[in-house]
Amino acid sequence: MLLQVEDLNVVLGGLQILQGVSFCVNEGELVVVVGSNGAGKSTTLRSICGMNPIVSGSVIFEGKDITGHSSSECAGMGLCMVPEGRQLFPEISVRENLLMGAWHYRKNKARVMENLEKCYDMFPVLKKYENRIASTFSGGEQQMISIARGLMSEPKIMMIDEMSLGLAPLIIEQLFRTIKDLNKSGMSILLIEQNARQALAIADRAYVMENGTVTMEGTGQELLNNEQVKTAYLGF
Amino acid sequence: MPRCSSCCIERGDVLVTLTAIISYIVNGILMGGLYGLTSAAWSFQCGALKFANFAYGACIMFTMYLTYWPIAMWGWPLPLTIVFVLAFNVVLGWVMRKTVLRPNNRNTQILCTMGLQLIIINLANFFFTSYPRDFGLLEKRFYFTENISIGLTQLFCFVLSGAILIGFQLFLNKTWTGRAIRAVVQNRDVASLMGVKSERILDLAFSISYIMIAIAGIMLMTMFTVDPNFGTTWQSYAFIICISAGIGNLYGAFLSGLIIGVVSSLIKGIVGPFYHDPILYAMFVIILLLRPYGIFNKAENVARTI
Amino acid sequence: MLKKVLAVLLSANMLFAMPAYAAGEEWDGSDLEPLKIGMITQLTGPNSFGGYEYKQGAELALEHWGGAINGREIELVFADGPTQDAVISEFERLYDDGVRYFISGYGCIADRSIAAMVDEMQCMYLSLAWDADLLQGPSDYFFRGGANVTAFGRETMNAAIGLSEEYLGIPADELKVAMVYTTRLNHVADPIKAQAEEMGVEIVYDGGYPNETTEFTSIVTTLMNTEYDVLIPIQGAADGAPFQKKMAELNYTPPLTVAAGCYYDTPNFADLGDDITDGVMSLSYTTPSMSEDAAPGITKMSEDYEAKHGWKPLAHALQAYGGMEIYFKVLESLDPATWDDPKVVTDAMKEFKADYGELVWYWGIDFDELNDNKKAEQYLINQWVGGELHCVYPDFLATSEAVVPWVD
Repeated sequence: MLLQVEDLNVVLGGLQILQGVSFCVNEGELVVVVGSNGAGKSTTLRSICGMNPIVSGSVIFEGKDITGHSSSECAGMGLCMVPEGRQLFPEISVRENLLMGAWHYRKNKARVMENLEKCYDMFPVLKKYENRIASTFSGGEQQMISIARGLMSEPKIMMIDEMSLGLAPLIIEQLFRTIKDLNKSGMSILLIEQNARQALAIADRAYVMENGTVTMEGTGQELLNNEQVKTAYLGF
Repeated sequence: MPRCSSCCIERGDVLVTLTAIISYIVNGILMGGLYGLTSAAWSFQCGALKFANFAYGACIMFTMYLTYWPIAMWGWPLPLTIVFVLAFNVVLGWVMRKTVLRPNNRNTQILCTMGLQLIIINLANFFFTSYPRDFGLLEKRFYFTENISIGLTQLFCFVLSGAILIGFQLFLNKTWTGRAIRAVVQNRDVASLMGVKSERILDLAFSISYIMIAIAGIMLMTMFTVDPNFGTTWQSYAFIICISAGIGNLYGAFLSGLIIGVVSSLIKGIVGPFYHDPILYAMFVIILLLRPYGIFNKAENVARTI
Repeated sequence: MLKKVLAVLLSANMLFAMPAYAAGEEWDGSDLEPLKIGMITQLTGPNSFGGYEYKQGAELALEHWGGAINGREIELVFADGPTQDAVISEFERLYDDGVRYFISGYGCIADRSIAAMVDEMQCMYLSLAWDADLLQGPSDYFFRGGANVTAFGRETMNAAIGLSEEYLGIPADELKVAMVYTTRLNHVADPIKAQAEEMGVEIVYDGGYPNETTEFTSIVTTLMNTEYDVLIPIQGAADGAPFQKKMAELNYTPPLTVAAGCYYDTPNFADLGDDITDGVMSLSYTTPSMSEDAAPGITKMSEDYEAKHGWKPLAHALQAYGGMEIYFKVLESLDPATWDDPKVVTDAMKEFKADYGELVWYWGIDFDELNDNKKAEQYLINQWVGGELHCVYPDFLATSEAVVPWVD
C-alpha cells in the first residue's frame, strides 16, 4: 500500500466532519472517491496534506506514519495535491507557476528544466503561452496548468480534488483522458469527484463517502453497476 | 560668502524665474528619490505582504536616532554603526512579525501598529530626549550654473535608492526566494503545498523590507535633523504615494515618489510653503477620485502588483 | 505706661514716615520661619540649560540681597517641571508643603493653566510668560512681570525699521521685508505683520511653513530670487538649524537678518559656527550684555554669575533675577510678620512702582488693572560676533557698535 488512511476523525468549527474514514491507495492504482456535496471528500484530502488538524486516526504513506505533519512537508515526501478550484498563483505567468511546483528540489537546476520540458511535451499549449499570466486562462486550461504544476513536484502520488467542477463537458472528457493516461504511465492517483459516472469509468477501485464516512467500496465497475450508486449518483 | 547682490535678479520683488523653476524641479526629483524608496518599502509591506504597518514612520525615526547616537555620542566608526543599524532593523522586523503583526486580521494590525508607533515615539523621547539632533554636516553642492545646483549627498542617496529598488525588484523576479515570496503572497496555502514554509518566507520578506527602512534611515540622517515626531510626516507622504501609485506597485511607488517630490518643491517655491500641505493633500484626493486604483494601475491590473 | 505710649507713637510715626524702599531696620523678622518662594523650572529634559539659568539667576538675586529681607530669611524652593503636567503636579505639591509665593520657571510652560488656579488657591504667582492671552481677567493673585509677545513682535519690526533707516538708509515706506517662520510661532508673526502694515513696510515674501518642514531648498531658492532688504526669521531649533544650513550650503547670505528671538538668541544657534552666525541680529529681552549706565548693577550681576558658574549668564538668568528683585522690593516694603498672608503682598504688588533702570533688568514695574506690567516693553537687538551676543541697539542700551552690513 502506498497511501493508507485509517479511522480518520476530524472536527472543524465544533462539528465532526469526518468519522472513522478509512481507505487506501496501492502503487499504480487510480482510486476514486465519490460523494455529494458536503460528504467530506475535500476535508479528507486536506487532512492528509496536513491542512486540517486530525483529532484521531492515522495517515500512513510509504509505510511511515505521517499523521499531523505540516503541509509544507508534503512536496518533499512525494505527496502532491491538486487543489479544488485550481488555485493557481493568479498574477504570475504559467512558467512561474510550474517552476513553483519544483520548489522542493529547486537547487538542482538541470532536473527542474528537464521536468519543465516534460510538462511542456505533455501539454503543448502551455509551452505556447508560457509567459501569459495565469488568471487570464480559461477554467479548463487552468486545470491543466494545475495538474502540470503538480507533476513538476515529482510526486509519488497525485491527489486531485474536484477537477471537473465548473467546466464544460468536452473539457471534462479531455481531462479524464489525461488522468487516465497519467495513470497508465505509472502514476498513482487519488481522484475526488462529484462527477461519478466518468470518474468511476476510469477508476481501478473506488469508495463512496456520505456524511463524513466511507459507506461503500469496490472496483470501478462494481460501483458503476451498483443499484444504490446508480440511484444516488448516476441519475437513474 | 558672496553677498546677495551677486545672485539677486533685479527685475521686481518676488520672481518666479526659469532658473528658479528648474532648481525646484531638479531638487524635487532628488528628494523624490528618497520619498520613493521609503514609500516603496512601505508599499511592499502593506500591499504585497498585506501587512498594514502604521509604525513605519516611527521605525524610520528610530533608525535615524540609532544612526546618530553611536556616532555622535559614543564615537563609533561609520561601518560599525551601519552594521548595527541593519542588524537592529532586521531583528525589529522579526519581532514585529511575531508580536504585533501575528494576527492576520488587517484591522487588528492597523490598531496594533498604531499603538506600537506611539510606544516607539515615547521610547525615543525617553532615551534620546526631544531635542532635535543632526550631524551638522554641510552638504557639498554641484553647480550646473550659478543659480542651479544639486546637493551631492542627495544625489548619492537618489542613485542608491534607485539601485536598491531595482535590485529588490530583480530579487523578486529572478530568484527562487523572490518567486516564493510572490507565490506566498498570492496563495499561502498552495505555496505551502509546494514545500514553501510560508511563515518563514513572510518573516524573511518583512525583514528584507526592514533592511530597506534601515538604509533609508541612515541616508535620511545624513541629510536631516531628527526629533521624535520626524516619522509622522514621512508616514503621511508614504501613504499618499503608495495609494496614488497603487498599493504593491514598487516601480510605481518610486515614480510616484518622484512626482510628489517635484510637485512638493514647486508648490513650496511658487505658491508658498504655507499652502503646501493643503494643496498636496487636495491633489491626492482628486487623484483618488479620478483613478481609485492608483495612477499606474488599470482596474484589471489591481491584483497584479509585484 | 508713658513709655509704652511713647513707643507706640514712635513706631506709628516711623511707619507713616517710611519711604517706599525702607531699610528693614525697623522690622526684625529673624525669629520668623523663612518665607518660601517656589520656582518650578525645567531641570531635566531638552531645555534644562534654560531651567538652570533660571534657577541660578534667582539664587544669585537672593545672594545679592543678603539672603534675608527685613531680617526674615527667604528660602527658594525649586522643583523640576520638564513638561506641563509635571509643572502642575509639582505646583500642587509645593502648595501642599506650604509654599504660597511662586515665580515662573524657564519657558513658563504651564503658566496659563496656573493663572486659572491661583485665585481659588489664594497663592501668588509672578509670571514671566509672554503669551498674549495669559491674563484672562482681573485677578488678585496672578501677575505678569515680564514681556508680552505682541509688544515683542511689534518691536521686532520697529527694530528692523530702525536699523534699516540708520545703516541702510532705507525709510520705512520703502522697506522690503521677507519673513520665514514656522506656523507654530504664528503668534509672534502676527504682531510683526501688523506693525509692518501700520508703518508702511512691504512684506514681499510671507514664508510661513508647517512646523514639521525639514526641507528648505525651495524656500531658500525663492529667497535667492527675491529682492528684499531684511529677512525676519521666526524659528525654533528644529527648523531654524536646517534652514540656516541650507542657506550655507547654497552659498547664500541674506542682506540683513533681524530674527525675532526664539532659536536665534540661544547658544544652540552659536553651534552652527561663526561663518553662519556672525552678523546675524536678533531681537531679545534685556540681556546681561547691555549698558551699565542704563541698568546699574548689570555688570556686577554678570561678573558674579560668571565667577560662580563659569560662563556668562543668558537673558534667562536675568529674567529670573529680575523677577526675584520684584518680589524682594515689594517684601521689603512690608512687615515680615505680615508676609504669610498672600493678600497683603499682592495688594502691595499691585501698588508697586519702579522706574526704568531701577531694577537690574532695566524694565520698570507698573501693573495695570489686569496685573500686566506696562513697563516691560523695551527690547534690544543683539548681534552675533564670534559666537557671542553683543548688545548693539538701541543706543542707550548698547555696549557695542552694530556692523551693518556685515563684513568679516
